[in-house]
Amino acid sequence: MDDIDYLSMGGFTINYEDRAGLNCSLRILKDAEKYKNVSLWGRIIGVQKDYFIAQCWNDDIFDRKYFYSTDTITWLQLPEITDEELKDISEIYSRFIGDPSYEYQLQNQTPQKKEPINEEKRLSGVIKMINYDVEIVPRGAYYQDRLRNILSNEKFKGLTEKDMIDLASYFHFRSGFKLSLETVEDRISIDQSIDIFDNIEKDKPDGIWSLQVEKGGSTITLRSLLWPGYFFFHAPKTEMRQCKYGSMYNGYGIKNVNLGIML
Amino acid sequence: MSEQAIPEEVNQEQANIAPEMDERNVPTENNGENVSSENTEQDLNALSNGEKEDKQSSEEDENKVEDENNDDKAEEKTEEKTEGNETINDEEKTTEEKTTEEKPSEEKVEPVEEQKPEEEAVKKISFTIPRDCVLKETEELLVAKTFLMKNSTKTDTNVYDHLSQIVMSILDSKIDNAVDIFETLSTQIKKEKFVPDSFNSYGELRREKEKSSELEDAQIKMELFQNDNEDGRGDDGNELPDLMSLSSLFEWAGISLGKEETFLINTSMQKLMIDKGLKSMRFWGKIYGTKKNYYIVEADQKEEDDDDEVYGEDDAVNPEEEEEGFLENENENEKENTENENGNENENEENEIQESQIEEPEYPVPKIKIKKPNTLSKEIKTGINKYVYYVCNYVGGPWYKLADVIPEKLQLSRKIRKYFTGDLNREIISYPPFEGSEAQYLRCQIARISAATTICPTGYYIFDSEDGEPDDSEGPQPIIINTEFEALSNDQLLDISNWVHHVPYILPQGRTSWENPFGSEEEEENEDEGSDEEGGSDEENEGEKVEPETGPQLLTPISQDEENDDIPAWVSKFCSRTLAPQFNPVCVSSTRWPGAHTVALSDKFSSIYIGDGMKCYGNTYLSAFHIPQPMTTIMNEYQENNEEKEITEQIDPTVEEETAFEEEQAEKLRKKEEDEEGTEEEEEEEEED
Repeated sequence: MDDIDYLSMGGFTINYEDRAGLNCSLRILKDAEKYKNVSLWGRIIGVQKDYFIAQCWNDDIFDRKYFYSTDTITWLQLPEITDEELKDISEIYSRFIGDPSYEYQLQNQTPQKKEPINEEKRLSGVIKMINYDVEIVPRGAYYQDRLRNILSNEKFKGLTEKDMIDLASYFHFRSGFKLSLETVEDRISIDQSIDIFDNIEKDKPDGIWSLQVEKGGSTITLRSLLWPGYFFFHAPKTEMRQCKYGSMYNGYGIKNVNLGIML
Repeated sequence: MSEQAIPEEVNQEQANIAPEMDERNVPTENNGENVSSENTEQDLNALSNGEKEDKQSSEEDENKVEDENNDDKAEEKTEEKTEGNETINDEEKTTEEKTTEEKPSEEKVEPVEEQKPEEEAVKKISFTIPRDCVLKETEELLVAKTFLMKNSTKTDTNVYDHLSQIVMSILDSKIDNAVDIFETLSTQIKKEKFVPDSFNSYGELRREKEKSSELEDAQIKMELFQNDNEDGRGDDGNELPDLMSLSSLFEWAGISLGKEETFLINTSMQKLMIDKGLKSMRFWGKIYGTKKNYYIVEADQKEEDDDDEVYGEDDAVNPEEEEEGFLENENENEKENTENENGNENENEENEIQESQIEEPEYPVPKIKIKKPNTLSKEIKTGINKYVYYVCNYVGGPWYKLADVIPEKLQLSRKIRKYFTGDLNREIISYPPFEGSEAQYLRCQIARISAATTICPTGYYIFDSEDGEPDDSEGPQPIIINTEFEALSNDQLLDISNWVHHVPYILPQGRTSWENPFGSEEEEENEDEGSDEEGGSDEENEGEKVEPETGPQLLTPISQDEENDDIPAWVSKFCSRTLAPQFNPVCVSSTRWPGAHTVALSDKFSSIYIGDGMKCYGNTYLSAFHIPQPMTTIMNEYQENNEEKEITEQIDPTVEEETAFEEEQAEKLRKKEEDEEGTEEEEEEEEED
C-alpha cells in the first residue's frame, strides 16, 4: 500500500479518498473474514463504476479468495467458477459495466439450463485468467523449503543490475512448475530453492512483455501487452532505500487478442 | 689452578665461537691465539671490567666494522660476547701473568698490551674508519627501522606497519599457536587493508560504471533546473498550463504520472517554450511504447521555424513522377504508387511509368481513361495541423518535432493496429502497408485522438463571426474563447450534453476540410464545402463524381457521438463519492479511446491521454478482433472464349512439316507459272498472227 507512488510509473494512481477507504476497509475485512493476509489485487475499470479487488490468503499463497468492492467500503466475495464457465468468460470481450448483476449474452447461446454469466462471475474468471497469464514475481522473492512449501523470502534484496533487465529473472507466479531439462539448460546457475516457477522469457509471442527502465536505471517496470493494465515494478535494494517490488492490475479486464498483429 | 681449568673447559666449549672470533680479529697469529683464549675466558666472566673499557670498545669497534651487515640483534649479541670476552681477556691477562711461562707470559702481557696498541695500529691501517662515523647502537637501530618503514610502491604499505599490525592482532585476539598460522594472519591483514579509494585499485572505476546511468539521468534532470528565468518573464503572451494544479485534478480521477515527474515535465515544457518561441502549449499526454514511451506536448507556434529537425518528413524524391505540379509535396507521389486502394488506378500508374520510361513507343499505347485521384494536400497550419506536436522519450530528454499529418497516412492509420516501440524512425510494417515511419504513425494517432476526445464545456468557445461569411472559408470555422464564459456548476458538468468538441472532425479522407481528389486547381478554390455545412454536390469538370465527405459540425455536443455498440461513447462521473459537489471533480472518459480523460472542477478543466494509442472499436465479441483489410484479389487468367475462337492455340509445325509444306507450295507455284506461261505464249502467238 505504501508503494503506490511506484504505480504512477504505470500512469495510474489511486486517489486519496480511495486510499483512505481501502486502508480502513481492508483492515476490517481481514478481521472479519479471519485471514492472515489481505492485500489489494487491483482495479478493474467499468463503464459506470470501477471494481476494486482484494485478495486474501492464509498460508497457501495459491489458495486465495477474492473480494470486490465498488466503493471501497463494503466487500463482497467473488464466487468460484467452473471450468466451463471460465471458457465462456474467456469469450467475452465487452467492457465491464459496473453492475455486478449484469448478465452477459454469450456468443453461442446453448439452450442448456446453464446459469447465465453475470458480472460477478466474469470478474472471478478474469481474475483467474490474469493471475495465470501475467502475475509475476522476481527471482528470489519466493523460495521453496524441503517440504516443498513456497515461502516468501524476507531477506530478498532485489535483483542485480544485470538481472534486472533480463526477462528470465521474472517468474510466473503460478503452480505447476516442472523442473525439466530445458529449464536447466537455459539457466546456468540454477538453484532449486528459488527457481521454482516458469520464467517469463519463454512467453509467446516475443515482446509480450514490455520491460522499461525508469528513474535512471534504478527501477524496472514491466507491462503486459496481453492483458493491458497489468503493471509490475521492481526496485532493488540500495543504500538509499529498501527492496521493493509489486504489481497491480489497473485495466479494463479485457484480453488483448490482437497482440500478434500489433507487435 | 682452578681458574685455569675453567678457561680450558670454556675453551673447548667455545671452540665454535673461536673461529668466528678469529675472523673478526685481524691481529697476528700470536695475538690471535692469545686473543682467542682470552676471549673464551672472558665469555665465562660476564662482569664488565671498567679498566679495559677502551680496549673493549676498540674490539667492539672491530667487531662492529666487520659486522655492519648483520642484524641489530646479532650485533648486540656479538657485542655482548666481545664484552664478555674482553673481561675474560683482562682476567686472563692477570692470570696469565702468573703462569709458568715467564717470558711468554711476560711477553704475553707485554705483547698483549702491545697488541692492543698494535691492534689499534693495525686496525687503523686496515680499516681506516674513524670511530665517529660508525653509528652507535641506537642509531643503527633507527636506520634499520626506517628501512623497514619504507612503503612499498605497489600497495602503499610497509613491513614495519604490517608486522606491527600482525603482532597487534595476535595480542588482541590471543590466538593460540599464532606462529603456525602466521602466514594466514598476514594475508588476512593484507586483505583488510585494501582501500578502494586508492588510485591504483579497480574498485573505484567499477563503482562509477555501475551507477552511471542513474547518475546521467540525475544530471539530465538537474539541467532542467538551470533555467534562465529572465527570458521567460519577458514574454507575456505565452500560455503555459499550470501542470501542478492540473495534476492534482487528474489524481482525483486516478490518472497520474507521479508528482515529481509531472513537475519535471512542467519544467521541461517551459524550457521548450523558451527555446522554440512557442505561443502556447499544453501537455497532451503519454503514449506507452514497448521499449520506450512518448511524452507529448501540443504547441502553437509563433512563426515558421524551418530549422527544426522534423520527424516523419519524407525526404526521398521520386523523379519519375513529377507530373503533378500543383501538389505541394512532391514526395507524396511516391506514396501514390502504393497507397491507392483502387487496383485499376494502380495499373494505370504503372503504365504511366512505363510511358515515361519508354522514349519512343514502337506501338501505340492505350490512353488512360480512368483518372486517378491526385494526392491530397496537407492542411498547413489549419484544421488538423493547427498545432505542432513535440515528443520526448524520457523526462528531461530532447524534444522532437513531429511532421504534419499527411492525409493518405491518416487514412492508412485507421486500417492498421500497431504498437509503438518508442523509436521514431522505425518503419511500420503492416498490411495494408503504411510505408512510413513511426513518427508519422504517431502523429496520425495523435491527430485522431485529439479530434475525437478534446472537449470543452459548452459556451467556452464560440464561433468567430468576424471573419466573413461561412461560405468563403476553406477550413472549418474559427472559434475563439468566449470571454463571457461562466463556469458551469459541477452538476452541469456531469451531464455530457454540456460538453462539446472543439477540435474539428477528421473526414475519412484524412483532412478536416473536404478536398476533391480529382479536382484541378480552379476547383480547389471553389471548394466551399467545409465541414460546417451539410453536403452539397459539387460539379467536377472531368473525372468521376465524388461526393464530398462531411462530418459533424464543430462544437457539437459529445452526447451526439455515435454509440460504441451498446455502451455510450462518453462516460462521466464524479471522482469522489463523499465530497460536496462544489469540490468534486468530474471526469469525462471516452470509451472509444480508452485512456482519454477530461477532468473538470468548476472553472478548471483539462484533457489528457495516457494509454497505448489504440482505438477501441466496439463492445461486441467481434469488434475486439482487429480484422485487417482483405488482400486484393489475385488476377485471373485470361478467359478463353471457346465459341468465338478469337485466339486459339495451335501446335507449331515441325521443321519437316514446314519444308514439306513449302515444297508443295513451290510446286504449285511452278505449275501455275507454267500454265500461265503457256497461256501467255498462246496469247502472244495469237496476237502475232
